[in-house]
Amino acid sequence: MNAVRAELTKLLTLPSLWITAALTWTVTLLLRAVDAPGSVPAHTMPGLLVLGVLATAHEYQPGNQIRATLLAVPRRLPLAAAKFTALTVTAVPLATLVALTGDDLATTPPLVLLILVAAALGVLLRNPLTAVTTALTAYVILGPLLRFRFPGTAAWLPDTAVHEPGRGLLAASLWAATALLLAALALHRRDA
Amino acid sequence: MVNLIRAELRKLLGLPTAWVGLILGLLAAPALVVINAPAVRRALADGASIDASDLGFQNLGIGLLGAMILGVVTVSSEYTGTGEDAPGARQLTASLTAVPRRARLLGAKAIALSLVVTVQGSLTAVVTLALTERIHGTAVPAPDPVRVLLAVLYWLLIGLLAYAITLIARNGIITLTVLIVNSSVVSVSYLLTKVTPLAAYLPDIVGAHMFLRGIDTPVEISPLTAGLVMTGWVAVLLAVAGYLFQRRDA
Repeated sequence: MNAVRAELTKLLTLPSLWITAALTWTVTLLLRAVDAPGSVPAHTMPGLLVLGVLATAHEYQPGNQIRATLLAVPRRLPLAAAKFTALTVTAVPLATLVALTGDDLATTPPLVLLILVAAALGVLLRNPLTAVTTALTAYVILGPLLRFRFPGTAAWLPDTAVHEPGRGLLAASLWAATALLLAALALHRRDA
Repeated sequence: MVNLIRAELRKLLGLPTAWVGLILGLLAAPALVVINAPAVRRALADGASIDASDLGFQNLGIGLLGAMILGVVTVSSEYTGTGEDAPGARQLTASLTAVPRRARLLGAKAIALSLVVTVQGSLTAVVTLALTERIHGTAVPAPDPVRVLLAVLYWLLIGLLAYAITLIARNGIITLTVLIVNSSVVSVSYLLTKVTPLAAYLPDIVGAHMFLRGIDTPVEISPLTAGLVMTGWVAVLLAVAGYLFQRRDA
């Protein structure tokens, strides 16, 4: 429980996360104002992906905060659990806010799930820049391309649920669960 | 200066992320040609109203990601910490010790980046267009050499744009997020064109007018104007970046 509280403090006191969240919300508000085509939260998802990546990958930035973290919580699987719990607790209100602002409340669950996938990517790749590039390329280019060219894959892609609420939620949940599991195992097995 | 450029080339090509950008940029566009082939063939057979001369060029866009990554890592690598033993140390300190005159350093970096990006752009353009011709045969008119040159020029300008923005932001994540999000099908710039036609003059949209014909924008922009506006954007951003780099603490 203390570990969760510690992770929560880290998330809530990191300026880059606040800035990313604030920018994402502002862009949502702007897009809503200009009446953008399609689901508004789907357009602001990249901001949330950056947030998810930074929430975990910031520990691997120069200074290697992860060493201090592991010194405090040496058992790695509980640490991974604490990290993801803390992130979920913060991601839910943020995603709700973004979804509400974007007038598409049904997108809240997939938004949270994709934030978790991005966070897992941050743990797996251990480099914010690489993880952000991978997450954004997948979301902005690869996902739409696959859905457009091979419509059959849509039901299996993690981001379909964001674009068409009500569809593909199971796929998003599976992706999130798999990604978190892989990330926890990677944290468990690898040298920090 | 030659030594400087050689040094910067070595630094750039020694980065694993730069190679990711290089290979991604090279392979993405030809891969897209192959993926898109069945749909395009169907469209051509149906006699759909697509500008056939645009075909090969349209697929080039995705490879620009490589140019962006190269432009970003050229700068961001200087600002990341060098290692665990000295978290505060950055490569930039060493670079500036070796080349104290900052304008020279920036110039050498820009030239090294331009060389790599131009080679990448030319190779990608040639491979993509040749592949398009091979797959679709005579259905696609032979590409106009001037358009190919303009496409490569656009490629180079995007690389320099990423370079300038990263120099201003001094953070690769911000630049990459802005650029990648903006390279999506429904980009922020494209959404803005719905609000004001002037948004068509934002760099990413105006630049595409240099070599693409059938773009859906509210204003008609000729390739020459497009090239000039795009070069103007890059020049202004580079000037701002240069000024800030001169004046700010490293």
